[in-house]
Amino acid sequence: MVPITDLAIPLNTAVTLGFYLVIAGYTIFTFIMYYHWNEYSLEKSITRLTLGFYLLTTLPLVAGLGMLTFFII
Amino acid sequence: MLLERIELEADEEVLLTIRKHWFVILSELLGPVLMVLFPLISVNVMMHTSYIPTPLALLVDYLPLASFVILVWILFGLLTSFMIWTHYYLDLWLVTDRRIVVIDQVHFFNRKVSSFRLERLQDVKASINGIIPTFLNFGTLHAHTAGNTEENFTSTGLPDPRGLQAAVQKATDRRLKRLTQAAVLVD
Repeated sequence: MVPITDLAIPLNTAVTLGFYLVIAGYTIFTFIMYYHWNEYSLEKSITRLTLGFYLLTTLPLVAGLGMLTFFII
Repeated sequence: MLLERIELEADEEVLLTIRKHWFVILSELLGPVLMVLFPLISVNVMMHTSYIPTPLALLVDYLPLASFVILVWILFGLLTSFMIWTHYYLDLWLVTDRRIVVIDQVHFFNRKVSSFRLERLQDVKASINGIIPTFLNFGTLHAHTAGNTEENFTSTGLPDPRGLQAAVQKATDRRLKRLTQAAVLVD
């Protein structure tokens, strides 16, 4: 039987993998958000405001995650 | 945009656009907002107290990793909040002078659009159930249609359900009157 400690992946790899997973999830979610607001919204101004606020609040977090990933690895 | 997809008739007029009451979205957003605030408050408390030195020491030792986890957590909370807002905004009742369109955005990939003509409307029922709904005046609206395929449309958390019931009833009466006049003219 292989000991658990031998199976553990290094922290750098785990963080990089986690970052790529977050990026993939975020990209898919952003596409779904954009599609829904573009297709089903009644007012263009609310759509623009929502998508603008979405990018304004989430993009700095994603950028921060990217910087932290490179800092950790 | 939505109205182009619904394809309103040439001179069809939108009378009302109804979304759920603000309390509904506020109560739904409470969880994700607390989720976003929780790590920020926790870190703040840990930095200003001397009673829990071990987690603080751990946090300092693994600061980049801890920051990474906290940022992912906050991002997840924000995405959840935007998802709730999207469902709230895209979930609506559209009352025109000819029909009612009920759009139920359950999830991102679960959207129900029902439409029925006002002349088919048989009964509109409004109900307010509970202490908070009574004080804030929001509740459920049931619409029952007649015809070959009897259908029921129900939406919860709508603002001023009795006012909406009256408005829908008034629009229906006006529609029936117009149809009767048109029939008399044809005869």
